[in-house]
Amino acid sequence: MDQAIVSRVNELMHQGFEIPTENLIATARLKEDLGLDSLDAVDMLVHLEEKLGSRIEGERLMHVKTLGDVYVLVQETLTPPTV
Amino acid sequence: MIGITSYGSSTSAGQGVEALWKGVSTGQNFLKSFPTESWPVALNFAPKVCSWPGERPSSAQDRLLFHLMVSWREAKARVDLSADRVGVILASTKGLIEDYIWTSQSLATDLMTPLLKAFCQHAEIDAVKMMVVSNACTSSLSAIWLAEKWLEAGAVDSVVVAAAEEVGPFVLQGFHCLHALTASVAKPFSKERDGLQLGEAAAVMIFSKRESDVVVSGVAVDVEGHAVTRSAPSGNSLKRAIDALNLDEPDLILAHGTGTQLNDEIEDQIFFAEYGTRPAITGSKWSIGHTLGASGAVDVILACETIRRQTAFRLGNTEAVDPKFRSRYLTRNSDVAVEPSRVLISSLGFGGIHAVTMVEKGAS
Repeated sequence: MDQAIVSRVNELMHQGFEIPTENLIATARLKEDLGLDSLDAVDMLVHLEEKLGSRIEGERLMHVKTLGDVYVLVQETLTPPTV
Repeated sequence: MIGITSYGSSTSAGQGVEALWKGVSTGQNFLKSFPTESWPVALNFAPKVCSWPGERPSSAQDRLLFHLMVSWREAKARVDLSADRVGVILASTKGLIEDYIWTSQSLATDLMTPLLKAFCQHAEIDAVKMMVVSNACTSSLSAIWLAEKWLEAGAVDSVVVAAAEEVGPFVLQGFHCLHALTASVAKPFSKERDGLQLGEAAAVMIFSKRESDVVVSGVAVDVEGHAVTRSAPSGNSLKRAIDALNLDEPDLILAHGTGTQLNDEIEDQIFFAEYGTRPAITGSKWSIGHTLGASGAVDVILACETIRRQTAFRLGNTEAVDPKFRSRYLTRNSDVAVEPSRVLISSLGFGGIHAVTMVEKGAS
């Protein structure tokens, strides 16, 4: 995993949702461990797009479970598909 | 006349109105594939914005709620409704039926009301009036018609129209059986047009009697009852709807423009008879698809953007207009130097229900 992406996502989660940085680990579950509710998904989508300057498939964000899943989603969004 | 206070959208062009405008105005086509055989849902009457952490598969209700909340977030950022008596109208047609088709055998199943209630709950709107409008492809414009009635009656201070549509196997196969889908891309008003492409969208619009820089100056709905699906080729119902507006001519028309033979023939015939070649005609469905019950809301938002930005967008897949058509179209290579101040939006629906609305510059 690209550490720059991890840092950017963690920065957003810390600033946007006031989650302590020590809790921001890849295995953290968004709901149980980080205390995010389903409406936060909408905020996260918009924040991520603003921060990354890139379009994210909203549908995919509906199915992430852990912070690690978010890292993967962002990495795949920022990495052009190879042919 | 009612003011368009604010709006937001989530379409295949992306989240937000800016993404929608950029996609349509730069000629992008957002063709999307849809599920054709199965629908991985369990019908649930408590829609959730999302299913973190995967508690259950997401239903059409969940997905529409998610996209409605994305749209609401954008619309709400520009307006304060805290002191208003608010009415909420959900406009949608066939999308939610996928949940029913694949999971329930009860014809009494009401899929719309739970979504409307969930939207109000998540958006934290204590609505004094709520209604679902499901009027085929005119659902959005019919909802605006109702919003105008509520506001004129003084029953509410603001109305939130939430429009959303989903495409699943049932909807897809239904349009396929009607031979309404294009084999390639939709080319509205061209000689080569062979059908429409479907799309998904959510849009939220907020209306009030307050002054605004863009307003709905009129909205009219007419039903001809010609057939279960097809509109009458005469287009008389569309003509009656336009005449009922009784407004000055538009300088731009955002046509329904699906790209089917019949739809485009009706629109060309009636628009030419009403306005000649004076207004330029364009449309959005070649880009983001035909979003059925949500399409009118998307086009009203785009109409507001054309007025605010003082420019138009083209029919990006249409190289040349069908030679038998007589109206004036913005095709792929047209000059878009239109400076719209009055935009007509049309929606033609199954069962011969037709609706039009006029969006124009407001006082402030």
